[in-house]
Amino acid sequence: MIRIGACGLWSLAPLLALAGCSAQRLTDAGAAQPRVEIAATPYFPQTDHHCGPAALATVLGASGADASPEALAHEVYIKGRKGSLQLELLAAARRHDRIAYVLDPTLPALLRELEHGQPVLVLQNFGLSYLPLWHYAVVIGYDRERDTFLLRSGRTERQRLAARRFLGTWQRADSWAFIALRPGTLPADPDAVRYLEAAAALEALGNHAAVTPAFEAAVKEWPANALAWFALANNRQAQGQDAAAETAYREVLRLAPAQIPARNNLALLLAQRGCKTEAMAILEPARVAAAGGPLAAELIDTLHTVESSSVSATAVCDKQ
Amino acid sequence: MNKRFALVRTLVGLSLSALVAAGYPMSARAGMITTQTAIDAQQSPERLANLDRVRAGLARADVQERLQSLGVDPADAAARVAALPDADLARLADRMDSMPAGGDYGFLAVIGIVFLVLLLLDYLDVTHVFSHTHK
Repeated sequence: MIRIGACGLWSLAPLLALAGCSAQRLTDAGAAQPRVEIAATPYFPQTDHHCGPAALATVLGASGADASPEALAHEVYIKGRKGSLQLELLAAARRHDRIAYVLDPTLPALLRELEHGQPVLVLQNFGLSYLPLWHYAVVIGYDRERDTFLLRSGRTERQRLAARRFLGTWQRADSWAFIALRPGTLPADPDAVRYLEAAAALEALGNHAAVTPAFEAAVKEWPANALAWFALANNRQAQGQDAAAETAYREVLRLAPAQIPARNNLALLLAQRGCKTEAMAILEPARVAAAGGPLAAELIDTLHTVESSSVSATAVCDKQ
Repeated sequence: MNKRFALVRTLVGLSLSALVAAGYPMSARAGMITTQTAIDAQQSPERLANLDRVRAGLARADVQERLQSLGVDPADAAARVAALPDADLARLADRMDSMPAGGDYGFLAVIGIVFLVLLLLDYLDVTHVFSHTHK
């Protein structure tokens, strides 16, 4: 019996040798500052298997959203798995009105966020690729000279880990990391589409007003990005701010005249306020372009809506 | 057994998807294309296939049932699936069991690893902690 076990272990030998190995040093990875420590990050000692809720409470607290690990356990903990899933941590952050932005799985991306004053929730694998022991922790800083990372982890308020050791555990978890952003705050080095998608995922929960600052920050950061303007237009539209939404949809079409969704939504707004002719003119090119594509059905529905709308004699329709 | 389970799951899923479609937060007006849909149309049109939307409804019921069977309170489970985007639901329905569940790496687990390593070293005659087992 022991032999069988030991035979099984042979295959683990090369993995054991690899465990914890990572050649990267902080200096080489472009750590910009000698020391970073986001000392104001709150600390919640974890109870049994509750590192997910504890780490989540830590990043939420740092972003100004108060939630206890006990309350968060109801939102992320799975008793039968003795742990929490990554996708549910992201969903729970959104339930607390925070944008869950997943970082590029690279060391420089992690360092940029820390230098930007943003604590980062990471997944670590303390086991092996084939015998994983998953753990969540929050990275709160680094020390370039000593080549170490600082973490809030488990029952340790200020854990100092050799960079080599931390990176080994993090990379065996596919270098997964995310930050919880208060709407209006941008990541250190944001990707426009990923940020807008993360903000839209928060908006999908229904609290449109809470997400508005995120889209306003996005059009400020990327004034020439049609998708950012489209997201802002939708957000205004959902709050009944039709005039402001119309202005933003027109900005989308100024930047990207062929954008089908903006033509669709603007046509609906125009038709609703009695500007049927203008709505048809906006919609027609999009309907042709969408034929056979993923939005074909939506555009046909919109055409029917616009066609059955009535013309208002008093509406001012010609602003372009 | 499996077939029956699958049938029940499908039926529950279909009826729930109708409910969910009615209750899921939508933009204020019918026909408006959401930001997420616009991004999908640009980035991954396949996500928008009608089939996927039906699947999202099924996945919601599926994931909720799975969470409950893993000890999550039914009310919590319902709130949790309601907070998950369609694409994530589909991923969870397919692969929840193989996804990492970050917990405590734990004292016992570490002891277990140490034990296995000692066992290996013993087998290789590097150490002699359990030497009686093969001498």
